[in-house]
Amino acid sequence: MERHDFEIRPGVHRVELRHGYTQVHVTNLGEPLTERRIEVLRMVAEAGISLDFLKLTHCGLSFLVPDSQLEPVREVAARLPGTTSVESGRSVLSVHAPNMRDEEGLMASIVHRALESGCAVSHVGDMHDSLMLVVESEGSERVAEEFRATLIGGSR
Amino acid sequence: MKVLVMKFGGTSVATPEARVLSASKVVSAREAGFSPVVVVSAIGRKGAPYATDTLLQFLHEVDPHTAPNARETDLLMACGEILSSVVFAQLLKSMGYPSVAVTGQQAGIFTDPEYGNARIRRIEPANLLRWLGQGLVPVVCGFQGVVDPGAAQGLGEVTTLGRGGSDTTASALGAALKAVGVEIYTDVDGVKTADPDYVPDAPTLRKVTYEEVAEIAHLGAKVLHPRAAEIAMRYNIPLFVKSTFSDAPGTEVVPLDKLPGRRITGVTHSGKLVFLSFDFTPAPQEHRRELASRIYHAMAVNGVNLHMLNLSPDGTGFAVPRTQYPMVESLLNGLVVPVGEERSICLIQIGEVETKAVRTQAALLERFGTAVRIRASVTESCTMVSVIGHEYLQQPGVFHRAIKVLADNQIAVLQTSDSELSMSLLILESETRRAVSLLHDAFGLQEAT
Repeated sequence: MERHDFEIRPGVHRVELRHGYTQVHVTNLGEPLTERRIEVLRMVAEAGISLDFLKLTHCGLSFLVPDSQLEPVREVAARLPGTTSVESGRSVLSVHAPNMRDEEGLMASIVHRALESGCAVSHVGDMHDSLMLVVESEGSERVAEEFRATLIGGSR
Repeated sequence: MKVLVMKFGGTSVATPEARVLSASKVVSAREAGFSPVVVVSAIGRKGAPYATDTLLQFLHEVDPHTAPNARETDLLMACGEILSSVVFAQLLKSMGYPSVAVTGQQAGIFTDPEYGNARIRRIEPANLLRWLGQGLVPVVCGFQGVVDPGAAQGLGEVTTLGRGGSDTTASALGAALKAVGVEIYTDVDGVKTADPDYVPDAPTLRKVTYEEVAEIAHLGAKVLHPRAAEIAMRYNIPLFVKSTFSDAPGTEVVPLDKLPGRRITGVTHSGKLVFLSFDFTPAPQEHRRELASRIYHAMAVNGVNLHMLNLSPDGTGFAVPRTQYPMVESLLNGLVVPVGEERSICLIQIGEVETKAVRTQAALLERFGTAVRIRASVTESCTMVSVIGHEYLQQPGVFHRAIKVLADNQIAVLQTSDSELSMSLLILESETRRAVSLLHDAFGLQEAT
């Protein structure tokens, strides 16, 4: 009898940890906020910097770049409006599950676990099949292991 | 034997004329030397007499106050495809092509016991291979299976595969039968760069990768179900999306190595969402993490589905499905959250207006000192528009271009999220049509092929 595992089962099936990121927070942009954000994005783009995990925050924005772009980011950060912080030593902990935005409470339970883990979570992002948490690299391996042990094929 | 799986959706079997056109495609394939296996959806879409939604309405009307049980709902829903397969098989026979109508069980489709959204565990294609060997055209009911004998419960019970289930049936049969291809027939002539209701002249993509089509489908395009794309990708089954109503070549879905290079693939829209943005700045810095944790815990234990999350030192935010918003509001508005070693009190207020619940809580808390008021702004009626591409979104300036073109046209972006293949922007639902069209133009999708 031929057997196929046709479909990935619901629930978390993979936890990945990638190191080597720098996080940029731009705050206190003032008004008009939309125009100020666009100005920041223009300056970053003109500096040839490719960004990930863009998030709009109350008074600015936040994004992630690979550490390889640390120097150009520092250079442009010094010219950006508002208050800018550039923090290297960040890792991306990503949790993968099919169609996870429709899995009741799954995203929230993972963020809650991450916040309770003791590891500093500075950023989150989500897509239909993954939740990405930006964490301090120090201690991130422990959290990734905990997630693998408790989330993959298991309870929330 | 060159097995070709041909799936016909609701509109392709909705009328006698459409069924003749669909059957003609099967006949052409047969005449070209293929051994077709047909998969059909229920006849018509919402409102049609034998459509799945009509059957559900029939059941609902028996007792609108009592939800029918999942097992019997699946049994009823499976009837739509059974009727469709028998009618289609009869049509093929009348055209001179021996055919056999086949239920999910007879096709050997075994699933887990998750009624209403079952996953295919395995397929035993012996019956189908025998019928093909006898020169028959099997017409298989899409969207259904039976519980795997290996399951702990529900042995032999009829299950349905959830939204887009017939596409999933077709892809899985393609894999099990080692088909030379799976053709998904629908009422548009392939995968388009945008919803043609919003961008009437949106081009049809001639080729797209499995990954891109799955992303497009996940983010709102209705032309192909993402589960079907994912199965085809895993088993490397050639997949085609074509129109029943034309001879246009349609879209071929291919592995990435057959379509390398940087490109933008499409713009989609999806979701009816409510966006909440919490301002933590009134709370001391050292309490904000715990505050966020309590809010996410409340969402987790109550099964709330979150989209477009963000977390920063000064707050957090997320969008929830509109259907869940009343529950979220009642959970959070007036919620008292003790935080920190000294158990400082935070009181959450949803929206600008202080409700009676919040006012009452605040009055009760006065004897404990001042409660820190954490306000969440609420934006109702939101949706996501997404730009999908390959090796494109990582280029400098993509976010700038997308947000600027919308801002220049007075469309506010409330939040963003991104992955290797896509970038999503949360906007007001009332702006969807304009936003899709503007992004389609801004990224040059009119020239896509």
